[in-house]
Amino acid sequence: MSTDSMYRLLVTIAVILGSIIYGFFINSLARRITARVQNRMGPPLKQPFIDVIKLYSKRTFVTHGIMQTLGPILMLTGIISTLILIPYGKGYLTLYSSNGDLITILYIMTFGQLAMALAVGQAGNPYGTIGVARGLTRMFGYELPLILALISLIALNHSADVNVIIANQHGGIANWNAFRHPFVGITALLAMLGMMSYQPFDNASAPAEVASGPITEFGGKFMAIMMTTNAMFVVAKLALLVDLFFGGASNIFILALKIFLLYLYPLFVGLVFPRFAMEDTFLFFWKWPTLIGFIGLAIAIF
Amino acid sequence: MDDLKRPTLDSDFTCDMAFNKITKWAQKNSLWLLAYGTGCGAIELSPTMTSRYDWSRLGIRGSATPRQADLLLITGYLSTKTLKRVIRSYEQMQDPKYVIGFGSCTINGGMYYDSYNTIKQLDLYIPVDVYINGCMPRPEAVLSGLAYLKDKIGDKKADGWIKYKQNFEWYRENQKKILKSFNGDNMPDKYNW
Ligand code: SF4
Repeated sequence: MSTDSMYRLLVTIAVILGSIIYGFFINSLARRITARVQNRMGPPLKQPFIDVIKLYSKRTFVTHGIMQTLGPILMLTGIISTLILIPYGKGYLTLYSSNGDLITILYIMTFGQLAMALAVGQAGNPYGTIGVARGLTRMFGYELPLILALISLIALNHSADVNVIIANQHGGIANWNAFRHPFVGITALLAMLGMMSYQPFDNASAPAEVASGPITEFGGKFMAIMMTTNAMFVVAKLALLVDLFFGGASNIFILALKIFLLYLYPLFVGLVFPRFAMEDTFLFFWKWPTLIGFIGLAIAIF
Repeated sequence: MDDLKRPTLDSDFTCDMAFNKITKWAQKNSLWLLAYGTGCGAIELSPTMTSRYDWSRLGIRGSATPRQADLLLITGYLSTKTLKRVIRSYEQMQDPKYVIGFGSCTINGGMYYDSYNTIKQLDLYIPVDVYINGCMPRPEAVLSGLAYLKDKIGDKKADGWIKYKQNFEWYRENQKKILKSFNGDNMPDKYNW
């Protein structure tokens, strides 16, 4: 192995571990902020770390079959593959993003969720099945505007390479895709609300409705893997959106700041709006975001 | 009660390695409780979890399913019909797990001492780690009970789940005396499934 690829590997491992820690960190900040909005103290900042250590230290390991055991692990695989295809900065921090473009990332992103759906199917809990059905319906909803926004981006940049899209946004805030192409930006930001599965669109894991949805039957170590995966996934999704619409980042600190600011947006929307019903969720995404997305696409092409 | 074997703790439960210290610390500072109110006492949980007393600052939060929960709160009287669900939920929880008996009803029957359809003494059916007395206990009492449970976990004395596993037949027999439907095939004779 040459020193170059060795460095790349080391940086990749650092980014994977860092994304776990940063994902937990912004999660706990979000919990603090939610608590403050509700006039509470909120849990200490280290709470997600305590939770995940506790879950890993659970003694029992109940599984209903091989697919349930494999599901969370496949999900972890899917998320790590997504994570290493996204650039986090310059030089080695682009990781392996030159090996796949936007379409690969979109494709791999859904892999984890599909593995999860299979695992839930084997666990045989009716709440889990309802949760998966709801989750996939929501995905079906928000993916249309999201894909419209991304196709417009590809058409505007004549390339599906994330690094090229970042490079084309150089030279100040006015050049960021979210501001230079407002229709595309608005579409993506609306689709992102569904992607982050925060409050108005948290119907898949709605706690008071369907127990906790897909994860109903997963406790202990499974749950720990899922929490870890979620932390990574949040960072991956936000980093991708920052790269595509908010000018990327020249170093990891600016990226972390941008990720955090972007994370606040679905959080605050979620604090204001109560949960949508399933059909309203679907209608919402296929109405305004899709319309704006088509306008953006038309402008991009003609 | 006398024929109950004393729990013998397995070695890595008492072992003092650094790793165990970390897990104990995590287990004590992160308690997810099963949102399952059995009796009237559950009404006191709402102020305990919302802005006024806010138990989330102590690392406590509700969880929707027994699989993810560490702590089962029996909030008051327990009718025989509910007992069956409680046992099923308790057995589905993952070790280590803890039970808090909440209110006088779980200790000696409370004001339902002569009722025909509630159980009188909870720890004949599932092991109880901490009792919070009162009818009903105020949120301050609930928080102090939870703090006491945390101390017990830290001192490795919250061993109800080991007791339950080791005296499983004894507990099952008691349960079967009350729940006639447990005698058939309705209840798996396994401990955790
Ligand atoms: S102890 Fe009192 S408040 Fe609690 S369940 Fe019994 S009667 Fe109700």
